[in-house]
Amino acid sequence: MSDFLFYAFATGSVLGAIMMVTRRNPVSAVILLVGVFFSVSGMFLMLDAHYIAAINVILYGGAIMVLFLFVIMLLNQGHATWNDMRGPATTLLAGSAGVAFLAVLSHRIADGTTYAPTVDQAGQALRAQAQEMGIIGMVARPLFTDYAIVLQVTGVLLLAAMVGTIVLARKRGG
Amino acid sequence: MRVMDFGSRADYWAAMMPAVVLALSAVVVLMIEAFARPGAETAEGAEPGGRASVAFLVTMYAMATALVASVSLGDATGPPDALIALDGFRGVAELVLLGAGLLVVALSRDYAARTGMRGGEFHALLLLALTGMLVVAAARDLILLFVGIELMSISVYVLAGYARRNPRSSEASVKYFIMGAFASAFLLYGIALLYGATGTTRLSEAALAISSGAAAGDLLLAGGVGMLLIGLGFKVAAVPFHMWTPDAYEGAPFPVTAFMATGVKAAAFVAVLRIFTVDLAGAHAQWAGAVWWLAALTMIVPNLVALQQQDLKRMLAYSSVAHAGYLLVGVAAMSDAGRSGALFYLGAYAVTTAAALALVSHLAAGRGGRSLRDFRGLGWEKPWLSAALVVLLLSLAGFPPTAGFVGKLFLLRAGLAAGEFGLAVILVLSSLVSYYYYLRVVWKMYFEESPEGASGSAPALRGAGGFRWIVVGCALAVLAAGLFPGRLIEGVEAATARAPVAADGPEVAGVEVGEAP
Repeated sequence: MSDFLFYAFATGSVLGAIMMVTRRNPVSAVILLVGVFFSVSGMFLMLDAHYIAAINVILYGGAIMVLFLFVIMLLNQGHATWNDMRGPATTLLAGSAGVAFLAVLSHRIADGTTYAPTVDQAGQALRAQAQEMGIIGMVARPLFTDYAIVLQVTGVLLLAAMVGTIVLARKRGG
Repeated sequence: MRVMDFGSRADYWAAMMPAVVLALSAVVVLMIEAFARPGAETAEGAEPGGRASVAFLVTMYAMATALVASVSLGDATGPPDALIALDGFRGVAELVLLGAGLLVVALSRDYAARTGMRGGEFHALLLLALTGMLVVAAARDLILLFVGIELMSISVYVLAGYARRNPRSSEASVKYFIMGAFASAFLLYGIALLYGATGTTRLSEAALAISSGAAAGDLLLAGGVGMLLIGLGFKVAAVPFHMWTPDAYEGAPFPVTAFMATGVKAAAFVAVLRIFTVDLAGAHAQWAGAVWWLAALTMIVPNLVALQQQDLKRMLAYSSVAHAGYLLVGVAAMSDAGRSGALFYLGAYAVTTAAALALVSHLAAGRGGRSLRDFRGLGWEKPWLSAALVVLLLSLAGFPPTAGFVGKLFLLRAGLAAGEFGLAVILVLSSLVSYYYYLRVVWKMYFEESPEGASGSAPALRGAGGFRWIVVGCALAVLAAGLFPGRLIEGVEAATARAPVAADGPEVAGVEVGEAP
């Protein structure tokens, strides 16, 4: 069952990603990207990373993609598309970068070694923490204790961003 | 000496009181604006010398209160590994930042009266930006530093585009925003790499990890330090990361330009000074060369470009970039003398630049233009304000009886003590080059004939809100600090030498615990 789910999500995300970059219409590209985010979130769920899965859907799949759609539709860019890659040199560069990345990735997978041992140690520590207070607790506890000040300053930062947007966008005055 | 151990939440509130005061006041200013009677805002500043608006008074009061709160924290120290710094360096930095804020807001009344700029959101955003600056000055953690820098930057992006009817202002805002976002990405990536190398975002722990050799991977460390330097280099406008500066400074409204050139630059420099010369002292080999070149280029290039400028505001923008170069000598020196010298220089430079920019704006409005030609013969028509401008320009150039001279002398001394002879020579030579464009203004003002009908073409302007008193006071203060620098320098040196002392456990490596003089 979990094998089946993994392959379903994996195919969904890879196919979605390929289709997304090949669409000419930005609106359908955005919709496909939402699909990719959902598939990736599904894989996070299978790894017991519930928090990241939820955040991925809420922030990326929800908020940011809706923002993209709004921008595309409000600016009426839905049908005007142009190719980013001008000239054969750029195409060649982009293509070879992609191939090189794929080569490194498959080499890493093929030789089967794990990465630095510290990653494993850190992983053990993380697992112990996760069992103690849960995934959400691991994120929330430092956020509301050690980094409470940072959280508060972030609140002020959001206020500044909101006021700034209104100042720049209002009709009268200025 | 009061010691806060940050064991309870109240300690955090007490330690952040200046920033808390500013943030709450920003909300109050916004509320005042929201509930103000319609039409009240258009009357504001309609007549020069008219009554000050409520938002203005609240803002000045808030900054004065924050200053008192900051000074009253003066003798408190915290543990060296706390999230928030509580030492003399932060105290002096806050003094400079809040002083710059007070000066800019006080001088902005004249500009608001002349142009009818709306006050409410201007003051609120300025307070929010100042909150961010205080957070930057206090941050001992890279995450807190990043959030503080973003709070400061986002408020200033908006302020740069505050004169929305003016396309140059919008251009300034967009340019600053795009380059600033670029810089933030570098900064964030640098923080991530440093975290990868040291396993912590806490600066004191990172310093320990680096100096004890526990930091993993030279490449990670060098990449992180380099990215951090690039990100902060954008914020202090060091060559070659200064491209946005002339356009942004020229297009932004004058008070905002003054705020960017003094407050934003000072806050970013405080971060550079603390992070590089104290926490990353163990990684000196990784950043010494880069900072050397940054300092050298930042001293040479803008001084040469400024020679060509006809527009006084743009000239002052290039001059502001050049001053970042002089300050970088203090960073390259990596010593107590370099740090206190740079802080003194920042203070002197903030007063001088804010007053000079406001004065250029004021005088240019009376002449209908701010190019060099418009200032011909001005010295005989407005003797007091012109004399003040001469003093300020001489201080920027670094002529002897001014604060600018003393500041340069101390940076030079710190550089020489650290064996940076090349940088010292460049500092002197580039200062000599800068004499030309500063003194050219003086020449035009006193030794060339006034253009035909220049004084009659614009209505006679009286400075609003005690403008003339403030500007002349700044010029006198610059002179006084140049004539009697002893006490000031002693105060700054004594304050910066006061660093947190670990009650028990190992002494934090890299932090020189200076003896109290």
